[in-house]
Amino acid sequence: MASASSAADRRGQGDGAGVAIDRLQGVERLRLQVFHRQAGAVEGLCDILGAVVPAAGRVTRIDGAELCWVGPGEWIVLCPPADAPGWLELPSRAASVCLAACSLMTDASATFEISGDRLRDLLARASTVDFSPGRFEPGDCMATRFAGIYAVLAWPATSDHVLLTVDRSQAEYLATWIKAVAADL
Amino acid sequence: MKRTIKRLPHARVNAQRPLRFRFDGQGFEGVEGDTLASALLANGQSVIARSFKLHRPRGVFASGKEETNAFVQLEPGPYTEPNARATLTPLYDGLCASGQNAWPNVRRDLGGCLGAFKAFLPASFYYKTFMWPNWRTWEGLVRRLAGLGRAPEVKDPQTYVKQNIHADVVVVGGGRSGIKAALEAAGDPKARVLLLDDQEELGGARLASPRAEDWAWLEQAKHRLANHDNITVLCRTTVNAYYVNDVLAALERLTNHHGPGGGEGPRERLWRIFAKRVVLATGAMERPLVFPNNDRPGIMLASAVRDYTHRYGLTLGDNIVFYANNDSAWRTALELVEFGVPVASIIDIRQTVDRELIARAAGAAIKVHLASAVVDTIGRDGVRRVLICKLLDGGKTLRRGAVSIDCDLLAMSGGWSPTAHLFSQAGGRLAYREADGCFIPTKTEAALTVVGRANGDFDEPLNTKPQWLTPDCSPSHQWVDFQYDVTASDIHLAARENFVSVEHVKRYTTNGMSIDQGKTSNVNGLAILSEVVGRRIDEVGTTRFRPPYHPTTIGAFAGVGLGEIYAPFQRLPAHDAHVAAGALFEDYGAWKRPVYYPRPGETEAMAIEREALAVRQGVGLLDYSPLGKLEIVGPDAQTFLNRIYLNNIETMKVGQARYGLVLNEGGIVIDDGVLVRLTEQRFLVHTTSGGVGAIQQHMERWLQTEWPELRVLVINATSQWATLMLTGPKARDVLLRLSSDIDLSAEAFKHMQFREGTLNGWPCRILRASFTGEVSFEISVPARHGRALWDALIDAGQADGVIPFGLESLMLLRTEKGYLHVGADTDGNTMPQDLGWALAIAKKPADFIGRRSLSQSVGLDPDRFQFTGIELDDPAARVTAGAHVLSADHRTTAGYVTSAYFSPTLGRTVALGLVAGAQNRQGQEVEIVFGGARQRGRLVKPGAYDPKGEILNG
Repeated sequence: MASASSAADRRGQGDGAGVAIDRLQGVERLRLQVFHRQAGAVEGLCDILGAVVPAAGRVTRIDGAELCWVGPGEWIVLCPPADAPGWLELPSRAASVCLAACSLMTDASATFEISGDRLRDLLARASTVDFSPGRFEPGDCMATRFAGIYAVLAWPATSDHVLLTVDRSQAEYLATWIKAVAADL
Repeated sequence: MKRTIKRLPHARVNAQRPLRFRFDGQGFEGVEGDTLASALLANGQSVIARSFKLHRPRGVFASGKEETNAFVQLEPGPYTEPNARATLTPLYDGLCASGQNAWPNVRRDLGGCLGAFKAFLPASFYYKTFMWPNWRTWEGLVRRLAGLGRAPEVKDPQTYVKQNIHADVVVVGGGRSGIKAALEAAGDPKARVLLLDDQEELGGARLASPRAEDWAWLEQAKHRLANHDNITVLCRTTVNAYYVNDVLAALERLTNHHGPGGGEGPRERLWRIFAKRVVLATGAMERPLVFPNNDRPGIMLASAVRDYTHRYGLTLGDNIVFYANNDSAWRTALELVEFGVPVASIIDIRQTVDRELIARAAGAAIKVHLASAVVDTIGRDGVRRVLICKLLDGGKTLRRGAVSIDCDLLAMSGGWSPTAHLFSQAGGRLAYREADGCFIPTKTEAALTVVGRANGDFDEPLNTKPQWLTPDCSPSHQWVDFQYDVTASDIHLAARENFVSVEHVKRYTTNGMSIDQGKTSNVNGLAILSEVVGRRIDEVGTTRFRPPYHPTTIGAFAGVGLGEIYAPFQRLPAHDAHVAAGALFEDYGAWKRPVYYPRPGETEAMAIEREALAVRQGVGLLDYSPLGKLEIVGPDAQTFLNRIYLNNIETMKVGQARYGLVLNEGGIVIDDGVLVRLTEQRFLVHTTSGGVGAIQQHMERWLQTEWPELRVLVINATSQWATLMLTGPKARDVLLRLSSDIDLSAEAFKHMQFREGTLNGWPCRILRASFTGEVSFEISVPARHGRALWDALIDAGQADGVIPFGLESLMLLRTEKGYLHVGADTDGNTMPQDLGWALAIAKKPADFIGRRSLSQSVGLDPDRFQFTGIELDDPAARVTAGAHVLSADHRTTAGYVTSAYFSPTLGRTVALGLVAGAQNRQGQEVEIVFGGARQRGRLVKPGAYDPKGEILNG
């Protein structure tokens, strides 16, 4: 996901001691859903996709996109803008094997990149999830309450950044909250 | 209290490092390692506080959390902290404290005269007195006289944090047992062990030991702890709460010990701890004995005397007398003598005491008074003498003739109680152990074990012989709860007034309430109750301890959640435009939404009426983005929605919109909105702004639990789209000034239709639905273009005088039109037939959620509260939501007004309401009462504005 991690695409949100927070720009976000209660639906989607979608609690890189598991039969796709149409067409291509939907949520959401040696401390102040080493590692993903709001946390396997995706309308709140917490880290 | 000139050599303080501090305006000097309490005692200060109710002089009573007297106001101004225990406040250079609840100071307090009126101020006197003329007359006076510290009046400049942590084993208490438990748990290298202790350093009771071998053991234990990577040690951390599922809350004092503004970073951290297993090594607390005037300064727990002597190196008196009912106090007395502090006497209520102890006491030149009780203490600002009498009949009566013993420090010990607060909070059961006169932990469902003294495993036998109350002495001056001035007579009174449950007695007398939380008073109180009501102590039982174990700073609960981020908020895509337009924002759920856009000099009513009139006469623009937008996709989408909605969805054509109601299983209306059929297998469902999350969950619940076979996906698209409502007779003219590939003409784009296309080059969705009664376009574009669309429509509408309007103005407009607002015009009982939907229910052939409930007798009652318009007889009269609509008897409520505004268009108040049997009472007169005023009016069909709907169809 080169464009996603490109420094030029980032807009700084402020750094605390030990953590760096950037709002990710230049990336499309999509919600991929499949009617998973139908036997073989997910496997059928994978066949069409030519890749295995991540299992519960995982984030996987597929064709330059990060797929974050957010619930049974549901993933958030973070991909370069040029790749979005291909993902949006996926349900049509898979129509013969499963019911699926892929919808744009770039406007509906905001993604922050968080990194730094105090990353786990920051996360532990926002959520009750166990973020200690061994419990939250690259490749892990979860949908949880973070700083009091719904958020998707994904740690791409080859990255030192954790991706934090929230509703767009709450991005300002979250940025302010993170700055306040980061100031005391 | 004796002033200590030179600290004892074995003390754990740095006597070479003096620290200056002030108390009640007077300057003193302590040393590094002192607490405020030890430093005050070192300076010979005996009176440190005044009691809560009677303003009795009080001195230091204990040395830790169990302190019930020495509460001080710490620091002035923004850093001030009320009710700080002097025993838990580490001394720092420049510390400034003052006494509480006293004037002019704690040493000479005018409120002390209240002691003369003690007989008139028994437990819960305020429930029985100050009735004339009313309580409020007296409340201010009572509150001034009774109380503890003062809350800060300015903003706290310090910061606080909250943090979560997970551990496999959490050990609470860093004494010998806790350290052993932590080391044992850490034997498993995979186990994450968290060791928490509330003192400045690990060691627990070992810190009060004068023996070199104990110190050596402690140093070695610390070294071993440090060698384990999987042990995290947090000192200055008090576990205050034990919640279900083994979740603990602990307060870590990060920089308090540096004083105001000292140290870097936050002042305190509130830990939320998720434990797989908990070990409680919380030790035990010594209890006081209950005897006349046992609350004087200079009377303290024997364990505290041990602490102050050996840990802080103080010599508290020249004439130290011990008063006990168990062996531990004897050992303390003998240890004092061994390390150079003479003890004059030991008074013990027991007839016989271990011979070895007697022999050692004789060897230490300590006078021993067995089978004796202290019957009074003498001294104004500190104890000077005690009067003792011989006990007869196994301690049931006293022999006449008291003997006076000089003393300047009375160290008492009424036995020990395991510190079982957290165990009790965890739902654990306590059982009374007769032999030691204490409650010990027994059963619990929590994943916890209790070790050491907290489990009643005392190192050496106590041989306790309880004496809960001194016989043949008035109970009125035998204190049980020092903090709240609860005496034995108060407990007697409670029992006389038939408060026999220990929980009731606690609340009636306040014994064990507030800061103290019964640490020293609980067992004594319930034992006295037991004697009075003639039931065994185990039958009386204990109160259930509840969080917090120790007071927690409110700032720590808030953490960073202050000011703007006090609670999560949501911003509209065009938020900045609203700010620029001067909007007044309010919270609607988490959304910050414009209520109205006031102009200079306008009141709320003026602004709302101006905006509403402008919409009626021209055009207005509203940010409608929070409107819930769910997309329902799949081959069974129609079937699914037909079951979810009351309306018949099967007849909807592509591009058509339809207003619908959602019911719960009880047939109650829970949401409404406009549905749009986008394609054969795709619907766009609008919900109320606040209801989108709940309706999405409602749908998912039915799909996942009841109808898993329906091939349907639910997509929440609410935030993807910015939605603006352009409404008014000139709305179309304004919209036409933007470029679009959609035919916006009245003929091509009718009311309740939906189109997709582009607007100014942006992808857009336009719904012709109206919540104002005017021609309206609900225009949605991707949220990133929301601000641009707002600006474009404002620019395009300049010629027509477009105005931004807020939610309150929208509410006025829809009330004029008679449109209901679910949640405002409905309540938890409203069924669709109450809203006039009986015909729609009858006409729908298919089943839907809630249908069965509608046909139950409760749903057929003709006197149900039904939705109606209300027209006031006097056009100038005003009424407001919440006003009662009276029955024919003019006394009882027949309903209430749900929405009411003054309509600038109609020149009178328009109101909607829920009124009993309103559908059959149309035209009838009613009386409306609000704020004492009565108005006459009549029930009318909702919708005073454009009743035929000609305008919105234009």
